[in-house]
Amino acid sequence: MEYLINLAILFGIYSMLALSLNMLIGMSGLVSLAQAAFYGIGAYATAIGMTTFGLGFFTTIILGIVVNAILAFVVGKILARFQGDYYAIVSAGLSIIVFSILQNWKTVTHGPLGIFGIGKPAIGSYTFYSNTAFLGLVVIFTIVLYALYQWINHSSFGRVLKALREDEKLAQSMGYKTKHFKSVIFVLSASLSGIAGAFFASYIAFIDPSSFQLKEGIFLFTIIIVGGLSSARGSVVGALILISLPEVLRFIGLPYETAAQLQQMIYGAMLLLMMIFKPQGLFGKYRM
Amino acid sequence: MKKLFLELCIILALIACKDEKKEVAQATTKPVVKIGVLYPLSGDGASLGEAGKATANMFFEEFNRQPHKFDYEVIFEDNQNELSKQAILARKLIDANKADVLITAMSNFGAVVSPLAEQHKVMHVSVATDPTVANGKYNIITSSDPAGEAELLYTQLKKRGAENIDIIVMNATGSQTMLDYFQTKVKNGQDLKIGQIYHVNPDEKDFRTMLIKIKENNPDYIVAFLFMPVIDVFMKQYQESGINIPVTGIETFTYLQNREWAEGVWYVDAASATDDFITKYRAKTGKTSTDYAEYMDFALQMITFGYEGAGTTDKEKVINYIQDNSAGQITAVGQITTEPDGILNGQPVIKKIINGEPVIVKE
Repeated sequence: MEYLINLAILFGIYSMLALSLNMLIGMSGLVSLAQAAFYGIGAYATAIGMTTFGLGFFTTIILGIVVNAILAFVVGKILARFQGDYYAIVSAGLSIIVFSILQNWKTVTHGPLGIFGIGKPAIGSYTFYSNTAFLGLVVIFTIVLYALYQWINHSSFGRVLKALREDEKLAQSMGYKTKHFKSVIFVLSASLSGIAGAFFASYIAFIDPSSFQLKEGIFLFTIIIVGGLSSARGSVVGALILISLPEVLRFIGLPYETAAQLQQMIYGAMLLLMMIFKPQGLFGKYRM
Repeated sequence: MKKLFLELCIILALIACKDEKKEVAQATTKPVVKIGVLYPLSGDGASLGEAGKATANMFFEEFNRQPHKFDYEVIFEDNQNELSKQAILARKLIDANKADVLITAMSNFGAVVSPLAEQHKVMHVSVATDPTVANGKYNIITSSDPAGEAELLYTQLKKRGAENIDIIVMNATGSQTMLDYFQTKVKNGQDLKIGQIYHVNPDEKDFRTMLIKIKENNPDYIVAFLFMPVIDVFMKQYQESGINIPVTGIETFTYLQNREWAEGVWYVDAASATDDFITKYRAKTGKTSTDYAEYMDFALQMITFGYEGAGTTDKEKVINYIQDNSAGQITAVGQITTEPDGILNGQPVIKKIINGEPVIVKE
C-alpha cells in the first residue's frame, strides 16, 4: 500500500507539471522544452530555502513561483520573438543553461553533490511526515491546478491563446498583442511548474541537477502528447500512464536476466502503438 | 477516465498480490533475508549494473555450497540512473517486496535511500564515497576510502619531487568529493602548491585551451579527477598537444577506455579486486571485473557476514556485528578497515598502465 501511495505522490507531481506545460503547449501551441528548468528552480528554491534559510515549505513555494516568474518574464520576452521549431530550440537552450548553472554554481546549489535533508511541509505544529498526509497535500494542489487550467481554458484569455495557436497572424490582425499573450502564458506556466518542483524536493528529500536535465523536459512533453494536447484531463491521464506503466511492467514476470531491457522495449512499443492509433493523444483537442 | 484509473489501480493491486504469493512459495525452512538492489540495468549505466547482477549470481552460487543459517533472495530493480526512479523503487522494495536490506551505488543515489532506510528500519549498504550517506543507525557505506586515496596520492607526488600541481576536476559527486579530501590533505601538508583548478562538466569536449594554459603554468604534475566519458577526450587531446608534463589522478585511468593513450601513467586507485576475484569473475562471465562487480561482492560479503555472524534477523544486531567484527576481513577488494558510523573501507593501491592494462605496483 505504501508503494502505491508513493506512486500516487509521483503521479500527482507529474500531473501538476503536465498541467502547467499543457497550458503553454496545448492552449497556445508554443512548444517549450524548458519546463524541466523551471521545475528544477522550484525544487532548488525549496531545498535552499528550507535547508539554508530555515524557511517553511509553503514560503519556499512562493519563493519558487517568484523566482520562476521573474526568470520566465525575462526569457519570455526573448522567446516571444520566435515561433514553431525556433521557439522549441531556444527553450531547449534555456533548459541546458539552467542545468549548467545548477551544476556549476556550487556555493548556492552545491553543484553535483546536491542538497541533503530537505524537510516535509508543515502547517503550525502539524508536519506532513506520513506519506498519506503528503499525498493529500499533493492532491489538493493538483486539483487547484486542474481547476485553474479549466478556468483559463474557458476564459477570454484562453480563447485568445487558442486563436494564437491556430493562426498568430490572424490574431494579430484582430488587434491582439500576441507577444504579450505569449509572454504571460509562459510566465504562468513556468511559475506553476515551480510548485511541482517544491513537492518533488520535499518528497525525495535530496536533489541534484541530474533530475532537471533536458531529457526531463522531453519526458514531460511526452506525457502531454500521450494524454492529449489542450486537455486538462489528458495531462492527468498522460501522467498516470507514463508514471504507472513502467511500474506495472515490473510485475509481469519477465525473464530475470533480461527483465530491465524488455521492460524498456515493451514500454517504448506501447507508446509507439498509442501514437499510431491515437496520434492526437487520448483526450487531445489539438494536433500539432 | 475514472474507468481507466480504476482499471490501473486494480491491475497494480492484483499484480502486487500475485508477486507476494510467488515469494511465499519460494520460502524454505531457513529464514529468508531479502536483499533489494537498485542498480542501473538499462540505458547508459546498464553495463555497470549487469556486472553487479553477474557478481550477485556468482557470489550466491558459491555461498550456497557452504553451510549457512539464512537463505538470501536478491531482487534487482533498474533505477535507469534517475533519482526519482530510485526513490520510488526503494519504496517498492521496502513495501511490496519486504526487503530487509537495500544495496545502492553512487553517493547521490545512496543519499535518496539513506533517510528511507532510517525511517523504515531497513539496512542500507551503499557503495558511496560521501560519508553523509552513512548517517544514522541503518546505513553503511562500503567505500574506497577517499581520505586514504588522497593521502596516498599526496605521498606519491611528494616522493616524486612534485612541488606545483594543476588540477582538472569533473563536476560530479565522486570527483568533487575526491578533490575536497585532496585539498584538505594538501592544506595540512603545506608543502605542495596547487596552481590552477579547472572545473569541467561531464560533457566537456575541448581541453585544448586548458592544456595550453597548463603548458604556460608548467606545473610538475597534472592531477586529473576525471571519469567517463571525458577522460578519453582529455587523454586524446593531452597526447595530441605534445605536452610533457606528467598526468596522474585518483581512479581516473581505470575508467579510460583507450588505455594506450595513458601507457606508463601511474595513479592511485580504489581498493582493487583480488587476483582470486578477477580469475573467478573472468571464468564466470568471460569479462574483466569492474568496480560495480567488486563492490557488489564486498557489499554481499558484509551482509552475509553480518547475518550469519549475528545469527539473528534483528537488523540493529546485524549492523552492530558488522561494525564490530568486519575489520580485517578479506573481501573481493582485499582486506578492509572500519571507521565509526558504518564506514567500511578497502585499501587504496598504486597502479600503472602497462601494455594497456592497469597493474598494481608495489612502491
